[in-house]
Amino acid sequence: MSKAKGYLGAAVTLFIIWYALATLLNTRALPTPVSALSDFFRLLPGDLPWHFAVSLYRVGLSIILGVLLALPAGLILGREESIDRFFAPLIFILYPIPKVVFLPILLLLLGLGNLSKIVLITVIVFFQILVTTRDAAREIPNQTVLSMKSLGATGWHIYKHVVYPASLPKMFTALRIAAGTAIAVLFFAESFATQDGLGYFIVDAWSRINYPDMFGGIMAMAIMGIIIYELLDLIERRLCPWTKL
Amino acid sequence: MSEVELREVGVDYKSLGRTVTAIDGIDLKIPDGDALSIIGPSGCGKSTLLYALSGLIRPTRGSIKINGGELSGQRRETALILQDYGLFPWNTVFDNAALGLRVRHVHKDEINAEVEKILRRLGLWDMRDRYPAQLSGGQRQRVAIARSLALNPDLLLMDEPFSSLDALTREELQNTVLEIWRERNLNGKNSSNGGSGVEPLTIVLVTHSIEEAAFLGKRIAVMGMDPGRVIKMVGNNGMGEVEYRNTSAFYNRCAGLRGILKDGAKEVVGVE
Repeated sequence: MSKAKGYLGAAVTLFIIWYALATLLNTRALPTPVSALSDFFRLLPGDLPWHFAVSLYRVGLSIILGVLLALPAGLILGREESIDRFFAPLIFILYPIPKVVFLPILLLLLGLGNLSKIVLITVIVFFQILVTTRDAAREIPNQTVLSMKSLGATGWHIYKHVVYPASLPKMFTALRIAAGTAIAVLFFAESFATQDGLGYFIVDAWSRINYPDMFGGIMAMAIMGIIIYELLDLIERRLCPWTKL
Repeated sequence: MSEVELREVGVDYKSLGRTVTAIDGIDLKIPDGDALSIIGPSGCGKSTLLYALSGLIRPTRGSIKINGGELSGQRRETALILQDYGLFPWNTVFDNAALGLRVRHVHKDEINAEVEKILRRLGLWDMRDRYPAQLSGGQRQRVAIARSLALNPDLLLMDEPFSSLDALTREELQNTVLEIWRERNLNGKNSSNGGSGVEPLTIVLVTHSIEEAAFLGKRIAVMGMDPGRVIKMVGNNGMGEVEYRNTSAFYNRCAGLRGILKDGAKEVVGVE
């Protein structure tokens, strides 16, 4: 419950600053939180929940896919030097390239629907998780692995009992950062050539100079962020109980 | 049973492109049920020797035979206790102790029974659901002992297992190891005990503590440096009782070992 209080406190603080700023600037581009909030609730029976659900689906599925692909790949690259020697240069060439530049190609190849957006965000999450888990797996002290080997463990057991749990907390740290990037890219990907998602909703309201609607969409996006972070926290607590002692 | 014989064992490391000889020309016979302490200055290769005995590293030269057979890789009956890193922070006490058996695909009921027995024996049963971070250093090494005993080893190798503990905790754990060694070796000889499966336990302990070597070693191998080799074997038949620690024989033994270690160090200086 103290967590809910924390969020409430943060929201109140933000609204106060926002209110002061809106009153000070006195422009249509920044409505007061009161009018934005009332607009947000006015939009709830409308199509905002639909756009919200579409965005959450896209970003959620992308995060899941990105982790499922990157976690095993990163752990293997971190531990198997012969494989890493081949793939590491490839990763380091691709990693710094902003993946959003591939959006036009993806739209062309995969269409304007969900697929192109999910693939784009998956790729972004994939690289961030890959690089972190690879480093985490490399940094496992040799002694830890020896200790496992001394129990008679080989191959798969070393991955299951040492490499995976040792790297998992760092993977979650990377995932929190990646989730932020994922939402930002989602907004970008949804902001053109599409008819649904919060990105579309916000940009559409903006183009109609309907600022209260726009801020309703922004608030929905913030709520989506909270949901994703809280879910990650919950899953981490389940999978890494030893880090929360 | 575990009868260990090392002949002319040498291990070289490759370090930054250079070949470094960690140990060389090690001849050792460790009879079944022995308690051998290996003591020497830091960097004399005593840990390397232990890893070679465990099968985790392969000697560059010479041969290691256990029960007459050449050692190639790890034996199921050899357990190793390390100073740190031994326990996994992501496993509870119970899971840490059960890990070796799980890796060996032992049946779940059997694991539960065996681990419970050992955790109770070591006074850890009430802490079975805790994580290593919630334990004191002494408790952690107790879990490490439990984990290796769960494998029912006949050869127990220890690499400075208690060196990061405070003095009293260290002595307490040394007493525990001594008790376990005595139990196993008395039971082995005493068939009326009913524990028909109980075999003698051979312990090889690597330490840089003179007192620990003298307390837990029925024989003490003193190592010298460059390259790491055994410079003297010392018999220590007085060991075997917890009270030994408080006897003048023990003090004299420690003093004797100290002298040998110092002479070994001088010898190296003399060469250079």
